[in-house]
Amino acid sequence: MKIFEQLDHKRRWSADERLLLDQVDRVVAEVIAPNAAAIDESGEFPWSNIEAINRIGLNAIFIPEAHGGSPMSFRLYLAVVRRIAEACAATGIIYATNFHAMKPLVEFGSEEQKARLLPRIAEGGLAALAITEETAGSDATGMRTRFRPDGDSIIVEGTKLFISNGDVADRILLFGKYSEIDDARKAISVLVLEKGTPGFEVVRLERKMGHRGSSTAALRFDGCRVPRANLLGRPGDGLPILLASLNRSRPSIAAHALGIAWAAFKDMTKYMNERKQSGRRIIDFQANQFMVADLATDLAMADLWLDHVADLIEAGVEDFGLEASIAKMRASDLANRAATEAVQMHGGYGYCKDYRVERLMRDAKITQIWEGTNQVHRQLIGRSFAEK
Amino acid sequence: MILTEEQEMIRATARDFSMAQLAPNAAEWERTATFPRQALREMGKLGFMGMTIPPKWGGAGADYVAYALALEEIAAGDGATSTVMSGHNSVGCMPILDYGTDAQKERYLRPLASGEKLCAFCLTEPHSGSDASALRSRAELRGNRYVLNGTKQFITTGKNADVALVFAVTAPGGGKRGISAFIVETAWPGYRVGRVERKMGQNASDTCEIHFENLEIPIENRLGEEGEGYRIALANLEGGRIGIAAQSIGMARAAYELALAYAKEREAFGKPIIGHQAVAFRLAEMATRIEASRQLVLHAAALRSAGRSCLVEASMAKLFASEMAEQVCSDAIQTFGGNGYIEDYGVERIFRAVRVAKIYEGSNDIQRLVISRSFGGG
Repeated sequence: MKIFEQLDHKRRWSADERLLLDQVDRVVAEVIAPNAAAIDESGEFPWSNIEAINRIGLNAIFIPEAHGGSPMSFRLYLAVVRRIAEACAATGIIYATNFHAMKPLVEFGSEEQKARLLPRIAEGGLAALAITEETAGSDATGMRTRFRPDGDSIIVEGTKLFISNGDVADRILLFGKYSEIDDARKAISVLVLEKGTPGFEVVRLERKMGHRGSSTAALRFDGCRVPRANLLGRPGDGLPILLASLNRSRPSIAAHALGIAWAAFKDMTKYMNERKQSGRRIIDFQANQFMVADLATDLAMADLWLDHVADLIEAGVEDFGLEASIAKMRASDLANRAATEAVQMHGGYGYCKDYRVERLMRDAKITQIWEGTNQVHRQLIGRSFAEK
Repeated sequence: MILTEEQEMIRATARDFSMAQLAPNAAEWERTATFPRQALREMGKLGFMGMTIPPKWGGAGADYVAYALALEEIAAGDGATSTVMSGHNSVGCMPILDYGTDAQKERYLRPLASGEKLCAFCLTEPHSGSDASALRSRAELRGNRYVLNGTKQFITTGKNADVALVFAVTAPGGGKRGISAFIVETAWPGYRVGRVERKMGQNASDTCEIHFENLEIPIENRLGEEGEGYRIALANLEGGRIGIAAQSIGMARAAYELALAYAKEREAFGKPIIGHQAVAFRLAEMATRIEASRQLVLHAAALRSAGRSCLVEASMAKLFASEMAEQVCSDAIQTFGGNGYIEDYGVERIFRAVRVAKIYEGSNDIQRLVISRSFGGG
């Protein structure tokens, strides 16, 4: 583990950052990790975990001070996501979704909007990001949710699919097409829908392979009346806002996936040092050592790469989309690889629910799909080398 | 491989049965951990529970190629059911056929081969997995019976079986030569089902901890000679591995077919996603590796039927097919996008079911060991 300790040492957290990370470690050890298996089993929303992370004010770290936040570096945010995801991927994604959904508001909202809508989040409210629809997954421009202006309001009609936190969110960052704009791409707009809006319906919650504690909702908007003041930017600003926000959410998703990869790697190496067969610890078999070596190498590199992305963000680099794609793609592939090897090293036990690795494997799979499938990322990266 | 008419017919029968009786129920059985007892009875009537057992003993007398084909079809309908079928055929019936006395065959093989009774293979223990000779269960000879004590782990059909083949130490300190095999009736006092594991998948197939508490075994229920147990345990590995390869192929194929159908319907960026090269090429890889696995297992099966050794081929088939299946099922989920992660679409269930194929019946590293030892490695 020395390689990884060295990497962590390089990060040089400030005293405040260290303090927060220690608090996170404590919450993880005392609340989140012990609850993880039960949440997966029951599929119930982990309210006590959310309460625990709110007690240490984790939402506040990505909200400006003027609106109730205590902003900290993006690098720190990534470290927080990773620690939580390592203990409980479902809780990790619930928390990260708050960030993904609200960062665009922080970056593109007016002061009036931020003053009105952010404090609830800063104090621990939940947020959801609603883009995907039945006919709009990888191809988001196929969305059909309609925004129809009506005086001081916008009427929302449509449905959304696979919305994390969709049933519990206080604030939903909702993308739809402005009815007065014809062009499919230029019509895309974005507004904030608040909890309790009449006409909002949770149609169902999906039953999933993993991440079972994180609710994934199908939503319907049946003539929801939203104040026009909740529209972010102008009608038609949706796509640029969406693309800009991906730069933040992709590294975040990468950190979450690395958390899962880490959990798997740790469980695996621990077990391999304990389990004996044919008179030896299974870590002493060469083939197993080679597998561990390959995983450790790739984990170290993914770790370092995510630090690189955090550096770019901190240096104020504008466009780091490709770097973010690389991070997301590799981290999610690693989460899957580490999880399946961890199951394998546990032998039959790895297939039993009593062992964490069984859940890790189920949790890992979605990381290659959401936030842009890895195929979309390969296309983005590959295309960038095609000369115009 | 070019199939005979009889092999094609057996495959078609298995496919019809599987699509009609297994596929529609698989999701529910998995969700509720329901043992497919009725389906297994029907399979018995169709001859699938004693496929390679001679008709003389109530079996179908089919060859191994037909067996592999049938098992693939059953697995395509429901992985868990195929596991019960595979274990019952390869390490339930076969050891009794190969090592049993006529009396044992009459009493046990006949009802097993017809599917009237089910058999569990009890080898693995908490400390003895890949290292199968490290067992601790003890069978002590006292007069005209053995008294069995010990614990077995991860026993497929341990709860629902009528008969169990149990491996235990009869000569402590004797290593591999100190192990003997026994035919035990699960209804006898002293056979106690402990934990029934909750697993990542295949929950319709029970996987149990079994406790033997002073279980008395009549001497005539010992299978083979004292000290022959380890050899008996390993003797039908070829058949077992052919079985796991076949079921891996069936499950992978089912996932692939679901993904293919979806890719033809689902549109993105203006066309069905199969029209995008990355998706089409991924499906091409999946199809190729499924076919390669199939040819490998059918070859091993053909060797087995011809009475030729196929230890390496069977290991290769098991290794290749199970690795292939995990990758294919993962790719199938990927093809479905977000829908692939949702229970309703079925692919994630198959992925969870097939994952154990790389672990049981000799983990894939053991397969690599067998293969590498065949040319002086390891």
